[in-house]
Amino acid sequence: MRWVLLLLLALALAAPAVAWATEGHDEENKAQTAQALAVQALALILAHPPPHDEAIEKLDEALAADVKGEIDLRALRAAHAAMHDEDVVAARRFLERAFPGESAHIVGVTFRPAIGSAQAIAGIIGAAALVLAGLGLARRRAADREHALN
Amino acid sequence: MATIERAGSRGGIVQRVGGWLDSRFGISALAYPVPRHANALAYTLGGVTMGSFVLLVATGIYLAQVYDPTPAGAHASIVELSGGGFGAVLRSLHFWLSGIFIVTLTLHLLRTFATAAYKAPREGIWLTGVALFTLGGGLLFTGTILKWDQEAFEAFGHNIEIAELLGVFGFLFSPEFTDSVSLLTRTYVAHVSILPLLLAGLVGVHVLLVKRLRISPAPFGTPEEAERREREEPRLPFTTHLARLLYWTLVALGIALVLAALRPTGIGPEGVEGIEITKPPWYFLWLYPLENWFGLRALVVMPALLLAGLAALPFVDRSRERDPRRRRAWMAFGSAVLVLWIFLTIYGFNTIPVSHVGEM
Repeated sequence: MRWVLLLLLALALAAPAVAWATEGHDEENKAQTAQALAVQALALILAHPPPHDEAIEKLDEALAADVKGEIDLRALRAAHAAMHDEDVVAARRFLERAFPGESAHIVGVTFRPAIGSAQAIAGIIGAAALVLAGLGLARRRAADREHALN
Repeated sequence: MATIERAGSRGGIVQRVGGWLDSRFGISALAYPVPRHANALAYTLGGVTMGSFVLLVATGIYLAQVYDPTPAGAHASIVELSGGGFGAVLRSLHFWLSGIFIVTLTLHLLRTFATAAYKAPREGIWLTGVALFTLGGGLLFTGTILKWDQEAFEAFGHNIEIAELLGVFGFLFSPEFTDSVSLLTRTYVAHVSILPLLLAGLVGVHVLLVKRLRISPAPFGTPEEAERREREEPRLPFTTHLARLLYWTLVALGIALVLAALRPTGIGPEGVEGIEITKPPWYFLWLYPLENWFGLRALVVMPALLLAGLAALPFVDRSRERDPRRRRAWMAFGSAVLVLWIFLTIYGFNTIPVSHVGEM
């Protein structure tokens, strides 16, 4: 069992390094979603006095973003147009309407890796580690009891 | 030489390797007796924390090969790493192990408090433990900053503001300390070398003190009863304790792997300076409402009060009583602090974040 344990640990630690060599590169920053960029634009408008160049830049990026979920695109486009017309009050009003829900304008995690084969392998190794640890602890418990009796 | 030959004559390869190692490194010296209660899970939490730390270092070494610790490249390097494959798994594993690390560290501290293991002559063990708790918090904070997304940017902003608030004492943590290296890169250096080295060194002192002063006795009964029970309690070799630590560390690794598989760690968008639209990670969430109510100073004063209180504990509570049932006032006080921490965390989680944005 000790050899299985050692093998398992070595696999858990060595597998990622091997797999890295075959991974591709992606130029697109998947965390830059339209929703996150729009929240940042709104926050910049609220937090800073004019000029709002950075907020306009964020809205430009939001409309160009690949991931456009969890945002009302019509409101986003209207806010974008209002900002370019230098109507900050209207842009703010449109942006506040652009998000689903009442007031939770918060940005947290915007990109999470999909669960694929690497995750499945990790899950299997993890489950095997838990079973082995459980067996080891049970055996240890019995051995300790025997040791104490002697 | 005779020892080497004896080792070679034994049966299985594991025994032979063990004998070879023992003759050269004196591993059998680890088989010194420890009381049986030391093998209970509650007394194994410190070792599991240490095991999690070793795994964090191992996964961190991998992550350091692909992470770009410059403001221009940090976020993109994490997004690329998180893109899929085993790189994403390893980052998730590092993230979940850090959660297990702080949970077992906190539970270890709570167990030590509940069993009054901080009392004489073990004040030194307690003080090094409080210092380790502080370093653990520092590692979590610097780790949060490294991903360089909006949440990290806001943590970074708080770091700078606190450094300014602390004046001379905060100069090391401010961007003005040097023009040649960015504060992000310096934070990275702190995360991967300064803090882990300090922590490893202090763990050594902590463990040596436990070895010298022995594992604290089971606390139940009057001080006299506890002392008598300590003398009469069966002893087991310390190696049985080590074996349990390894198995429990394997449990921690298994849980972290399963969580990394089921809930991969994500990342937020690139950070924007001067706004606040995220909340801190759960272990710092208790500070969020305090900052709302009392301002930035609360982020300095409250952790300082907590740590000062923990450090002062063995010098304030000097009675010989160790049984939690006979220390009702202290247990009530500790429980109240714990409940307050849980309440603040839940309150921070449910606070409407939008109100924070306009105030910046």
